[in-house]
Amino acid sequence: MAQYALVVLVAVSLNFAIPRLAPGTPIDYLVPSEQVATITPEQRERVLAQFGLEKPLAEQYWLYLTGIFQGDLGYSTQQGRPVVDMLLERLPWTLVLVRGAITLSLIIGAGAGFLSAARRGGRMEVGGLAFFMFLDSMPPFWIGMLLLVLFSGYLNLLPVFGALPLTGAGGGFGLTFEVAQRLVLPLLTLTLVRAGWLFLVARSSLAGELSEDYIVMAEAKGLSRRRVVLGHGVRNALLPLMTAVAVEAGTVVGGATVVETVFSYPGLGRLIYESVLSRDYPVLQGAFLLLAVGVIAANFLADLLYPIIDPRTRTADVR
Amino acid sequence: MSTLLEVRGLNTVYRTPAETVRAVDGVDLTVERGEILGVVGESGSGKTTLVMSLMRLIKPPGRILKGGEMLLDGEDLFRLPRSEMPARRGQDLALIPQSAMHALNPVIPVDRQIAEGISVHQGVGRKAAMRTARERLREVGILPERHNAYPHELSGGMRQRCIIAMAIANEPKLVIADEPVSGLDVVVQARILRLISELKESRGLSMILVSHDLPTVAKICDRIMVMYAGRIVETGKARAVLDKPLHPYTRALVEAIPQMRGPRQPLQPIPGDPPDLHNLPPGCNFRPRCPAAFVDCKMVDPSLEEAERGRKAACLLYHKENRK
Repeated sequence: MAQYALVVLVAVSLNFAIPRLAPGTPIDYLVPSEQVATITPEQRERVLAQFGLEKPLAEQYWLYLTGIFQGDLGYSTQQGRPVVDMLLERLPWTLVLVRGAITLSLIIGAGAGFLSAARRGGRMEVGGLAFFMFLDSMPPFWIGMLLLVLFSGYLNLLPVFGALPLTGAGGGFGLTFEVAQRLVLPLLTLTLVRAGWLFLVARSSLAGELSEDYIVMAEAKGLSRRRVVLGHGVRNALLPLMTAVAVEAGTVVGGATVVETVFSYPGLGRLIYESVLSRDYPVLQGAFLLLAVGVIAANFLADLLYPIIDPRTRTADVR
Repeated sequence: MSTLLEVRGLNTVYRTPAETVRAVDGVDLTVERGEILGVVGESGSGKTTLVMSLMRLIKPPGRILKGGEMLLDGEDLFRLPRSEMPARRGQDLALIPQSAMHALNPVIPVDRQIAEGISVHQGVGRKAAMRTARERLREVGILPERHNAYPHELSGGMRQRCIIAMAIANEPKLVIADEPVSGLDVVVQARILRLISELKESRGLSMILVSHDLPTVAKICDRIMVMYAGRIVETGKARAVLDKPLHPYTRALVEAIPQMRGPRQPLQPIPGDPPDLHNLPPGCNFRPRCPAAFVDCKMVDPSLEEAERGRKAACLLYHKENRK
């Protein structure tokens, strides 16, 4: 637990430091570039003071830290709105997308991976392996664009972009349907991209377990093949898979940036992309902080789950 | 004593596009009720393939060739459809596999692993199965407070005891043990072997015990079969084989046993390399390493024939026409 607090502190500090290590001065992005050369020193001071950037570094750091605990991540340089509000506005969209994608890719990818390991050598298995390896090697934006062209372009089945209808279609069921419709493609893209990787992890870990000696013993006890694979093989193969999912939690958001941009989906990823384009450092900082905490939380959760599925990782005080 | 198991013409091959390797080559064997049959041979002699064939757990590219028979209590298990084998494994035939260290599932407590096999075969509930499992664990000398331990919490010897408890869980007709004491230190080996002999007495256990270690096997076995390059080269009562080995290979094995008594003597290794199943010599498989080989050995592949009363050997020296 204390370790995690330390990791969070390091993440926060890096988050504070990185924009300040970037080349150029804050003025470069706070003031439109054509005016940088012409503003007076007083104007310059005023702009900096607005964001607390004239203070010594140590004081800035202290203010940043205390601000975080008060839920204050500063203000957007472009929109002047509190960063926290902007993040909270986008967060639910990304959560729906990312959670959905992790769940679905786990069901599809790991399910197919386990099946494939249990049926090694079959024709289906070779085809499945090729398919998922293909998926795993495809860049997310490309898959997204293909799906977009196919479903929205040629088949004209699904809306092209956004998460909400532009016309603001009433509320209730109609709205839910509209939102769900717009979620399909980004979700499908992200799921397909992640499923490839999870397939490979699940397949290789179950294949590894199935060649272990305890599998032979389980079969020699007289268990059916099905029971041996599910009750003994998969049970042990879950471990590497869980690690993969914990790592996923981080990379999925990265993947979501690209996918959200392709589909103009109003999630965190797209906010990051927009902020990069407009050099909105406070927003970027806030978003990175949120991501860092998210990844750390996922790892923490995985650490808590390990002893439950693997008794070997239990320490004396847990048991 | 009546015959429990009779195997005739067992051939197991590993077939790859490039070649076919005969890992078990025309093996016949019988096990009497209440008897321990020892199978001895060096690594690569086909012992483990033999064991897995008898369990019908040979995986591709391995295959048991048609034409062999495995009569257990008069019923040919090789003729059973594959789908019926799970019901027989653990119930008719039980396995004590090689490498006890890894034969237990690391994430399930040992008593539950044993109970699993019991509830499958005896159709009893979880509680009853657990009770039986614990009884078996006690029988092999695991203290009650260790019954729900995970495998990694147990020593090698204790794990081997758990495996034995698992094998006898459903009171199988025949137990097949593949190197049950390899990988354990000598003291523990002795204890495990004593446990096996005790179980043989108390339960009338019938068993096939496979090992590379001739003197160890001889101690607790009634009869011995010596394997070389997938074939049986000699059979006989354990004591007799050890005291007076017939086949030159068995003789070399016996001579390679270090002597504890008497003057110190250098060990006698068997010259040459273990047989390469991919590339067997013409005639007798052992000829290239055999000190007693003569001209005919290059031409004739000796069959296993009666050499003395109750003794068989696959060596031309003991074939009728050559006996003096």
